[in-house]
Order: sequence, then C-alpha cells, then structure tokens
Amino acid sequence: MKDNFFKKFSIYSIRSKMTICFLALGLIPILVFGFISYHLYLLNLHKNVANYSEQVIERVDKNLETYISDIENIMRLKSNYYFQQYSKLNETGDIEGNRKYIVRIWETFDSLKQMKTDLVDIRYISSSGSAISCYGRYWGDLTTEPLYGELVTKKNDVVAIQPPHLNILNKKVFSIGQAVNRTAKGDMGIMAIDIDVNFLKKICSDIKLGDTGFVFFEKDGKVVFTPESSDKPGLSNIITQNTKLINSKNGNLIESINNTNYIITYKTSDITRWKIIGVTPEAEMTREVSTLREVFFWIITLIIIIILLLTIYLTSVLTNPMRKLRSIMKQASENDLSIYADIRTRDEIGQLASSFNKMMNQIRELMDKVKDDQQKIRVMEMKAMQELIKPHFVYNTLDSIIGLLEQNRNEDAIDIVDSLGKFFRTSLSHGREVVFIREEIDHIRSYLMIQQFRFSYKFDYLFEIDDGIYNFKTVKLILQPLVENSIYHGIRNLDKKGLIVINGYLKDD
Amino acid sequence: MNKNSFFKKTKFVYLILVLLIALPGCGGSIPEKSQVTEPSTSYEENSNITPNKDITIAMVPKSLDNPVFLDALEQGERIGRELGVKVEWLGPMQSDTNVQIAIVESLIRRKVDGIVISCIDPAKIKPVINKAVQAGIKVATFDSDSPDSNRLFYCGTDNYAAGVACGKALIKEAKARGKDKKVLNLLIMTADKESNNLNKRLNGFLETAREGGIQLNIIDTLYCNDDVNIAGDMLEKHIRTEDTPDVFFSTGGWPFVSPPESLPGFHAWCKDGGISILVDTYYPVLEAAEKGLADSLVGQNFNKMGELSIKNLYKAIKGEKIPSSFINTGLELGDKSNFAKLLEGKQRWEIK
Repeated sequence: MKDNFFKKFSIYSIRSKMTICFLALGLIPILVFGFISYHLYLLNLHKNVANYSEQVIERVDKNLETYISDIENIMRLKSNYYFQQYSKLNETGDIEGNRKYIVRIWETFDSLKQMKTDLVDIRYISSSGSAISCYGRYWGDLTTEPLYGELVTKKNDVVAIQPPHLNILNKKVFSIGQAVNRTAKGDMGIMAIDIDVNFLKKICSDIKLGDTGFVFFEKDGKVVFTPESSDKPGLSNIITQNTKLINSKNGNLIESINNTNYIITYKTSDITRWKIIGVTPEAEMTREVSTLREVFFWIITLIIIIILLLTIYLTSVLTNPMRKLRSIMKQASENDLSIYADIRTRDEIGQLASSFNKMMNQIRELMDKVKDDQQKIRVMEMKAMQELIKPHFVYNTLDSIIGLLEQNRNEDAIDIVDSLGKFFRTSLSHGREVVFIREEIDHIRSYLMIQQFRFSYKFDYLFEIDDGIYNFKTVKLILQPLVENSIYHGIRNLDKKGLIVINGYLKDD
Repeated sequence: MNKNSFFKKTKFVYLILVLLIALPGCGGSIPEKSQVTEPSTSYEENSNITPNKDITIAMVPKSLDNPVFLDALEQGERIGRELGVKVEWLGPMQSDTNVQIAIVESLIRRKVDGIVISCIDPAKIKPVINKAVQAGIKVATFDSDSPDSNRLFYCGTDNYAAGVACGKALIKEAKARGKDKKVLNLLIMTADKESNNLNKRLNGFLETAREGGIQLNIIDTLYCNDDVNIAGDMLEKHIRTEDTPDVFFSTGGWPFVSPPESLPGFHAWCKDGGISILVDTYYPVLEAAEKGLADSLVGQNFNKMGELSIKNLYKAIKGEKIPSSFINTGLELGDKSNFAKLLEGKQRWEIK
C-alpha cells in the first residue's frame, strides 16, 4: 500500500507534488494543533462548568443554610417570657389570664412577618393540639403533623424541614419546625415556621446556569421544589431517578434526556438533607465551543486558501524555470540544436540551464567538427580513389581488353573484366576502411592478374598465406602500393621473367 | 284517594328526587387535565388540623389586631367548653377582606362544623359564605353582617339603633351647649367604606341628628381600616390642622385604644368645647372618656356576641331551631354621669 502510494505520488508533476507538500506542511500542524486545542478546551470547559455549578450550588446551600439559621434564631421565641406564659396558661385553660399573652404573641408573630417578608406563618401547636398562629387560634392533631414524626425522635434544638406543601390558607410553603416544651413523659409541642416557596424560587433564580439551566431540590427520590418557569415537564423527576445521584451525596454527571445532554451537579445540604441539583444543558455551555469551532473552521478555510494561493505562486516561481528548461530540452531532443536556455536564476535550475547551454555548445562544436571531418574524409577518399584508380592503369587495362576482343580472345577479355570488376569492388569496399585479410588478398590477386596480363605475363606471382590469418582484419589497400612498387620498380626493368611472392603469416600473438 | 296512599306516593316522588340529585354526585370526580407546564412538585395540604370527632366552630373576626373582638373570643371559648365544642379564632392580622375570604375557604376545606364571621366587606364575603353553606357548614355573622348572604343569623348590635343613640346624644349635647341652631362641622372616623355595621351606625347617627334639627357639615371622614395603632394618630393629626371640627363622631372605639396622653391636641379640642361621641364602651374607651375625651358613648356587648353566636350556632349544628335571624346583643349607653360606674364593671385590658 505504501509502495502503491509512492508509485501514485511519483506520477504527479513536481508542481502537484509541491502543492501537496505545501498544503500538508501548512495544514497538518494547524489541524493537529486545532484538534488538540479544541479537545483540551472542551475538557477544560466541562471542568469549569462543573466547578461553576458546584460553586452555584454551594451558594444556594449557603443561602439556604443562612436563612434556616435566621429561622432558628426566630425559634428562640419559644424561650420568650410571653410565649412561656401563654403555653402555661393555655395548658391550664385560663382564658382570661391568657388574653394579654395571646395578643403579645400575635403582635410578635406579625412583627416578625413584617421584618421577614418570606414568612407566611409562625405557629405553635401544643401537645393538646391547640394552635396559635399568625391567623389566630385553631385546633389540630399534633401527632399527624408531618414535622412531628421527624422531631419526636430528635433532640430539642434540632430543626426539621418539611418539603413544600399547602398551608392552612392554601399557600405554597415549606416549613421549618422545632420541638417545644418537651416533657419527661415525651409530650411535646411544635413551633413551626412556614416560608413561602417563592423564597426557594428566589434563591434558585438568583443563580445563572446558562439560559435555561436551573436548580431544584430533591429528597428521597422525590422532587422537593423545582422552579416552574425553568423545568421542562418531568425533567426534574427523570433526573431524580438517576442511580448515581441516588447513591451519592455530592458529585456531578452528564445525563442524556430526550436527546439533550445535561450537566448535572448535586450536593446534599447538611441541614435540610435535600439534594440541591443544578441542571445545565450542555449545548448552552458548549455554545462558545461551537462558535470557536465555527471560527476555527473559517480560519482553516482561510489558511487553506492562502496556502493554495501561496503554493500556486511559489510552485510557479520554482517550477517555471524547470518547465521552461524541459520545453527547451524537448526542442533540443527534436534536433533543434540552436536552442538556448534563457534562465537567469542562480539556483540549481539556473546552474542546470547553464550546464545545458554549455552542453549544447559542445554538441554544436562536435557536430561541426564531425561534419568537417566527414567532408575531409570524403575528399581524402576521392583522392585515394583517384590515387587507386589511376586513369593510366584503367586506360591501359581497357586497351588491353579491347585488344583481346579484337583478337577474339573473349575468354581472356572476360577474365580481365572480371578481375577489374573485383578490383574496383574491393577498392570501394562499401566505404569501409578496415577489411578482412581474405578480401585484401582477393583484391591483390585481381590486381596482379590484370597487371600480369598488361605486362604480358612477364612475371608470375605466388601467394603463401597461412590459413589462420584470413579472418584477421587489416587496413584496406595496404598491399597494393607494395605490389605496384615491386612491378614498376622491380619486374618491369628485368630482362627475364620475374616472380612476385606474397607472404602472409602470423607473427607472435 | 285515601290519605295513606297519598303519603306513599309523595314519599316515592321524594325518593326519586333524592336519587336524581344524589346520583350525578356518585359518578366520581372527573380528573383535571394535567397541566403540561406545571412542575412535577406536588403540594399536599396539611389536612390534619381538624380532627373529625369534635364539633368545631370557627369565629372569624375582622382582624386579630383589634382587641374589641377579644371579649367575643373569650366568651365564645367559655361557652364552647361548656358545650364541648372546639372554638377556633381565625382572622387576618389587619383588616383584609381577601385574607378573610381565604380563611373561610380554608375552613370549608377543613370541613369545620360552623363559622361565625364579622364581615369586613359584606358583598365580597357573600359568595364564600354561600359556598360554606352549600358545603353543609352552618354559617352565622356577628358584629358586622352580610345580610344578602345565606348565613343563618346575625348576632350583634342593632347598629342602626346604636347610630340613633349616638345621634340623640349629639342633639342633647348640642342643645346643652347652645349649638343646636348653628351648622356644626363634623369629623367622622370609621374603619372602611364597606362595613355594613359601621355604615348603619353612621346612617343612624346622621339621620337622627338631622331629624333632630342639627345641621351637620361633614368636613372629613377618616378611615382607620380597623387599625387601633393608626386611628389615634390620624385623629390627632387632623385635629391639629386648621380644619377644626365642632363634632367628632367615631363608629368605633379605635382612637382611644391608644393612651389618652397620646392625644393632647384632641384633649385640648374637647376642653375647648368640641363634642366627642363614639360607639364602644370597652375599658380603654371608657378610661379615655372619663379623662374628658368623650361626651357620650354607645357600647356594644361583645361578650354577648361571643356567647349567643356559639350557642345558637351549636343549636343549628345539632339541628335545633334558631330563635331569630337577628340576635340582638343590646346597647350600653354612657355619658359623663356614668362613665366611672361603667368603668368599674370593666376589666383592664393590659394588652396595649
């Protein structure tokens, strides 16, 4: 596969390769950096959201705790002189004597309500079931009071919290209660303070968890309070069923509900034992990331465009001389040796062009030299031919042939013509300069036969040639001047018949 | 048709009528459509306040803050004990019709046996009284009536008669001071514009005075909203303006619940010949009157209101006949000649 890639890659032009390389060099670091940064940012954001939610919940818890502490202070009313007198006289059934204290208690309750506007009612229910509250006096059954069940097992100063419910006037309240006047027998009364649930709404709405995030309260798997405006139908109920949330006091988790991810952070309040649960839609928190992603996308696109443009420009700048050189070389390869590479860069391409120009100059010089040499060779050959085929020799031979024909010695004439033909064929040898010794011997034989006839057989000739040398090569017409000299300077002046011996043998290796 | 056959047929017709009325109610309640936008938090009512075994009668005053009602409460409680009835006392801290309505609503939910109410606004309270009656609760009014409602009876002062008595007292005082021939500037104090009992007193007073030849020019009406804490201040503030009245009439004793020493301007006005007439003869009012802050008082008997309300409502709950739809608790007349004597018969409040 790797080889396949490189094979495929190798077929691309340098320009394409450079474009791919530039893009890769430009994009890979950015993409890697972007990917790592994005994930680190996302991770960090999740951490920050969780931390922020924890802080928010901590604040809600503190607010609730502070408020409940205030309410606990109000509970100290149970030690108040008027309250104590009221309790005693109420138990003894002294109607007349209790008037003063009843009025004082109502006034006190009312003052506290005026000071703390979240208070809806303050009530004291005695063990006999007689109750006094901001709305008057009434009768109830203490043992069926939800707060009673909790307080009866607790110590005197401990408060119990009753989750939101409807009070005597049908107002939505949650109640904080404390045991009052507990006797050795176990009888006790309850002082309870009803607080408008809007207080919970207020402390929930004071915080900000994205645009639609919200805080709600849970106890024992049931929603204690959830802000109506923030809660999607049933969302709080679904969240309270989460097993991790049920099984741990504090923590955070991400839960997907109806295809929406929610970051859920929770803490169990030490005083109320309610779980304070912060719900933040993840999408709202990561909206920033989406913007970042969008910005990143556009930056990448811009970078790609810039890299592409730069790549096109740079590859053009870098490869144009190469392409020009390639074109020039192609022209040169098509026999246009007059071409000149006009590339003035000082880089490797410029040096290559300069070398090319030098090479072309040398080729041109060599070509001129070759032409000149060939012309000279032709002249030489002509000269040699002229030297070889002396007109006198040819005329005499032709005269001899004519003479033979006149004498009807046709056979002899044919032999001489045949020998003359062989002589010329060997002299030309298709333009070859080097011939086999066999051919040179045949040439000399034809020459000697013609000369023997011309000189009226005034000499004989003898060839003593080793068979082993026939297939060796030699410069052609090397023997003819020697034989000619031996005829013209040796035999011709003899009074008797001469003999020309031609020896051929192999000497040494 | 013989007589027996006629009664048999009548019984049959009644039976069918009862069935026709009762059967639609047996179909079970139609569940309300769940509100999609409502949160999942469910609010349960503390419905355990009233046990079912005892008879419970709730008395609803105009306000808890007004001590004049306490006599009625205490007497009601006493009578309740005698009868074995649990008497409750529930009302707004300050006079507030809406809270009073909410309280009656809560009593309906709690299914008390009887309600005795002093109506702040007779018209506004009427629907909830009718609702309680429809729910099978015996309802009566005390101190302030809602005559157009379906309440069983009204137990209290004949408020118009109280007004008439105040009017007569004015005529007497004016004549005694030689002011009966001239136009007298009148400053009125009352709780609000709606209270039936107070309006009756006012009407009785004005009509009697005018019929008696007294020409009255009402310079201002002060509404104290049944609040004893602000009534004295309102009066003192007004009396210190240049718009000084000749006569001061109050449909209740609110301004004198404050110590008489806190009304020096008014005291001086009285010494200068101002005529002061008020309804109510409870301890602080009589005490103030004795110190010269009032010329005549017409008292109500809140003890009787408490007593007769509970007794008659108990009768009604038990299915016995009520003597009348108006149970008059009588009037107590006071003037400078008997203020001290009346005061001797009263108990010091020690609450304000």
